[in-house]
Amino acid sequence: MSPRPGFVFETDHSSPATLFWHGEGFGLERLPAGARIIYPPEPVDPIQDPRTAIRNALENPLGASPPLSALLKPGMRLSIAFDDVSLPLPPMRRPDVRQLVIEAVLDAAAEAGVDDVALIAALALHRRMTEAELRHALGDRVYDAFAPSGLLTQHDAEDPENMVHLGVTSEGEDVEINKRAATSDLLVYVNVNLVAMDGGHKSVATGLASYRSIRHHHNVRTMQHSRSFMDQNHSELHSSNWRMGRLIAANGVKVFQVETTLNTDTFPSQFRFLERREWEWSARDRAAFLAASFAVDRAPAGTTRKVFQRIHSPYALSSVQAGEVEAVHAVTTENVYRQQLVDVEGQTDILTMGLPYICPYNVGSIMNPILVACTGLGYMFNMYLGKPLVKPGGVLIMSHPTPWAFNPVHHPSYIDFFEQVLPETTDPFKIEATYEESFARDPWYIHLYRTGHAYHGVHPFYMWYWCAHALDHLGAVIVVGGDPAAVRRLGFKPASTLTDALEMAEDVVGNHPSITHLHSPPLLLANVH
Amino acid sequence: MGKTSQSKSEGSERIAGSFSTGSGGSDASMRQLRRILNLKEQVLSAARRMPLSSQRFPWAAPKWPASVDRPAKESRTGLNFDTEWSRKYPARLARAVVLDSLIGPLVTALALPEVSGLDRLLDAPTPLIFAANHSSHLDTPLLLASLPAEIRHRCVVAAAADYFFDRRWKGALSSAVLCAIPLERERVSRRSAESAAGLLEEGWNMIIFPEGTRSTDGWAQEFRGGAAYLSKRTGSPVVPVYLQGTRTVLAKDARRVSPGRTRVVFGPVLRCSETEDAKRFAHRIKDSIAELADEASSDWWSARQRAVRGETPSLGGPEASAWRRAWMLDRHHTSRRR
Repeated sequence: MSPRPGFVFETDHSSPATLFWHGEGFGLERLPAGARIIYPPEPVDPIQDPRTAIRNALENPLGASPPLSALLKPGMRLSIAFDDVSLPLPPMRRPDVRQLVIEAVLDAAAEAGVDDVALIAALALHRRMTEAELRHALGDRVYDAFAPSGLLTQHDAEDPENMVHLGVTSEGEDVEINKRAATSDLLVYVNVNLVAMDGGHKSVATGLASYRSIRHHHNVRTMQHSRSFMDQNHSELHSSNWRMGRLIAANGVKVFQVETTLNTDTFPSQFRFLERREWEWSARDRAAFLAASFAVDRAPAGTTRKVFQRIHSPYALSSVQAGEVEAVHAVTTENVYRQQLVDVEGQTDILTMGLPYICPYNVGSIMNPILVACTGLGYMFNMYLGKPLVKPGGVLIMSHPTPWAFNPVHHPSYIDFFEQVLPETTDPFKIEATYEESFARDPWYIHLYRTGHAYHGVHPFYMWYWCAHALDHLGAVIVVGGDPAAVRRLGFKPASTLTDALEMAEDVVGNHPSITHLHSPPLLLANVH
Repeated sequence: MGKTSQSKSEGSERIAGSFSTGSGGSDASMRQLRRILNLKEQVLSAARRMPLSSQRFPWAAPKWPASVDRPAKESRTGLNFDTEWSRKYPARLARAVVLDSLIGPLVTALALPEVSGLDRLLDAPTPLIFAANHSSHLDTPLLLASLPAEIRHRCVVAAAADYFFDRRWKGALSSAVLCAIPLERERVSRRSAESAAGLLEEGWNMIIFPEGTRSTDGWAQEFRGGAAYLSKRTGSPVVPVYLQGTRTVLAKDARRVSPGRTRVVFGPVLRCSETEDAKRFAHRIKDSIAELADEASSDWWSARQRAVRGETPSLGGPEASAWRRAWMLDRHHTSRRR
């Protein structure tokens, strides 16, 4: 049976309760009759033979690019950059798609007699990956062949000696990227496109760039003018990266882009109820839900977190394309849309959503309040084309425990941002103008970023900037079941139950509001007409 | 609900108390009885509190919304029957025990097989595809019982999806006992071909009856190309096998088993050449089985000589009326070398 498309379901009195993520847990909530629920499309059929598909893509490139084998010559300098631990989410089961692609590229390089090969994890300002994470992404064969001799490196945006400034775009944006990548005869970028925002010129222009370069598009103005991040034609973030990417190409950096898309088969079978429509839950699904809920309610938070963080997704490759960056990305975006797009008629007064336990920046870690805000307002709110799902001045209701807790190893600057900046103001413009520079230049944060596993000092600011469009657009944000103090610190309103939250929302949008629920997982992209 | 459970609980204690007074039993047994009655009340009280009693989702099945069409249920029988479990180690172990200690001896006792040609398998690279003529349900267990253990214990049987897998219990039984996998009779679809090829590539040997169904009159029917196609696709060699006499033990539509003598002849390993298509290879398999049939009815040298001269008797029998075919079949079998 071919996968069914997503659709909008209107609830009535007999509709079953609806699944809401609630961080490291989940629950069933009854939405009022007449509320809409947007259900995502089912996972598209995967490619049956990924290795062959990858080889075909490398040898049949898109755009004005010769096949990979024709680009590989003895004596050349080849760099292979790849997306970091932030993709995909949850991490996929072995073999990771990056391993499959990189092995195919290395096979071709070996056949062509290329000796000078280096691998670079494109971290941008993210934390460094652990050995286990690198092995998971690349496979043991690749890791053991390159890591011991120092040929597997992680991009360091704060290493001036290994960065090269390529110039300034027509909009005055500095373009400074990894020197090894920029000075290679060929840079192969291996990408995982989980959402439409990923990939394209953003891969190199952001993934291998410095703070000096990234700040030109990771700022409040750009974020507010990206409507949405998933719509290339209306995203300032996208435009800025495209200008930078073209400047990189104009400087002679030859990029061979390999982009992959995954289907939305996100959770293993024991959690399959998360992805099924509630009325299709079998006895097994209901038993699994009840058992999981029982266990989550009673287990210590640390244990629950460990269990969830160990989940490996059964994602499967749904497309792979290679060649010239823009031509490749156009096809990739179509494939992402094919998987995720759902047509929705009209906006809503109140948008409800459950937030999961994971976002791109807390793999192996806790989802702190700033990441909760970013996941809801930065990512989920922006999962639209056309118009936001919520009307201007509408209310966003998110379900998440929002614990006042941080991982000091991964998120040291987040702690200070939460304790020092947010009590003063939640206005992104004021935060940017007053505090960003001091956090970004702080030597201690830079040291932790370069030598430990910490996100860059400026990273919590970017998380807040991702929320800028939603904060500007919404009348109120309510968090159900969150730590009241943490929620208030974010400038949001806490509510104990969904019913309370809906009542509070009526104070903002008036009586008899329209309600829409974003049913996730898996991911969906609302095409709002 | 709380009040009700409380009063019931009190009532239980009263009953226990009166029981104690009336019977005059020991304190220990009274305490035990009280405990049992209290426990029962606690369980009933918990059950009343549980949403299960109110038949609500997720404790009860959800109601299907009227506005949402029900998708057609994917059949779990026929080709869709999942047989993977039957190739897991516990199932293999159980099947090995059943085949070796029950089915094998039983078949041997009933059919008294005379097995020849096993030496041809000694240096054959596995996995192998065993292609045999088919005239009885006895063919599969007989062939399995005749195979060397190391092959028998890692062997799947291609079985008609519309017959052996049309009910889930039949599919489960066929998979469990014979390690059967569902395959179409008429034309092997891409899906089942990929599934079968996948098993060969995993190292599983395979028994396949190219005729697709049991013979109705004892003579072989047209050979279909499934075995040849799988061999060409996977590179696995084909071993032609001639089974003689099984129809006399258990004929099609027979209601009882008539013990008798049978012969199982394993032929030389056949490989599909690069220039040969599956159809031609299927013909070659059939010819090879015909030669084995000739060998079983005479001797190897005579059969080889007839084969060289192109005089091997047809496996399909003469083109004649039904009675003459039956007559010829009888002569064919009675002329076999003893």
